Amino acid sequence: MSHATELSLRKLFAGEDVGAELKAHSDACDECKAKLRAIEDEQRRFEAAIPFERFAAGVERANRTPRHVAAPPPRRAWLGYAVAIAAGLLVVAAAPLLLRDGRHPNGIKGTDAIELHIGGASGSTRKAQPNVSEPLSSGERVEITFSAQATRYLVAVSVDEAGEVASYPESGQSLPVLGKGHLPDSFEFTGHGFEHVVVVLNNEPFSVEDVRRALRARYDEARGNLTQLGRLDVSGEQLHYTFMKP
Amino acid sequence: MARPALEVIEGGKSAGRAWLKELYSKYGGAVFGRCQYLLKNPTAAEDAMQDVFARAMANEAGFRGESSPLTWLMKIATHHCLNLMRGDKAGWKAEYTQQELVRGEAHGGPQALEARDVVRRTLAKFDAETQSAVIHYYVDEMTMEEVAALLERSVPTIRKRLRAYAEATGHEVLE
Repeated sequence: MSHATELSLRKLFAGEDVGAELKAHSDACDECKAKLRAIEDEQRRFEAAIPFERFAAGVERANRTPRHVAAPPPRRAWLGYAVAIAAGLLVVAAAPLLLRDGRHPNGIKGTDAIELHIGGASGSTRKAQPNVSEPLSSGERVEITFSAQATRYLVAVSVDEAGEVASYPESGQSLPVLGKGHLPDSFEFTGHGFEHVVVVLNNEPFSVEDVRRALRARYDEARGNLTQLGRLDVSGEQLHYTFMKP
Repeated sequence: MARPALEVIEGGKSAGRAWLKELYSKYGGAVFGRCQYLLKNPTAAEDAMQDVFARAMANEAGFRGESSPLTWLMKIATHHCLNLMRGDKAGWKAEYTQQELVRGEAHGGPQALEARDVVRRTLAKFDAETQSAVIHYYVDEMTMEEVAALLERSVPTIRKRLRAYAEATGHEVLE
């Protein structure tokens, strides 16, 4: 059996379960026993340097007045623009076209619809087609519109060729949508190459992180080939779009 | 499902104190060691350690349910210290630059530095997620699967991050 890892030995010291096999090895192995002694020494030095009363007072103080430490910025985020700007550029008309089976051409059930509109500085707009690589010109932005007869929940995620995932909302829970409208921001995708966007719509709220994780898993499975991304393993309906960034 | 490692103690101030004493005796050295390893300053490390245990207290119910409180604490400590270091980026960068100079001049080059110190000093060049993955993989000696589970990422994503780190620094990634 290979030696116990640093973390396993620390668990052993703390009395956590590491499994009988690893415990037996650590009891018999000189190298692991030496490492365990080093961990015991570390704890002794810690207790000598910081007695419990000082520790407890410090923790209670920190608990009363937590320090605010800025979290790192997301690796990549969609660049959002205010509604006022987007509204001037894009005329949204999410008119659902029903097929005989009750599905909108974009795959959303019933009369609910999701559409992605592309707009740029020229003022002209066009509708993005799902499952088709859509070229974007410099400065062009994408707006997501919806039409929902009852409250639905929406998350939009995207991944670039480097595997960086961005989402809207960035974290937390899905965004409730009702009636006709568009997301509060329009988006410009940063970087170059392809960007694959998935919009997920569900009847129940769901976690943004679950969708991000599912997209990341698909990206890994496709080994970064954005034209080969399959359906995400999340519940609800989903639309896939691919954009070629300028 | 793994059994929680910490027993549930009924409430009250003395009970809370007993629980804190248990945390102190079992995990104090490990958490303080992680903070000191990353921050390289005993005072800053003590403050950071207090922040970490304060988070455990604030999240007591969830924390008690953890199958490995140690893993939870080390994750929080690592994340917290990396954020603190990022906030003090100028200081970290200066230290890194200084280290690069020392490496060029010292006999034995990078080998003369302790491996863990080399890991720490090369972190500044990488993003937050890679930094956490590197610490848990190289310092805690967690497997790629364990790191992926801890950071809630897929194994291929963690592999990619570690490979990028390894290629840039000459470290080895065991598949």
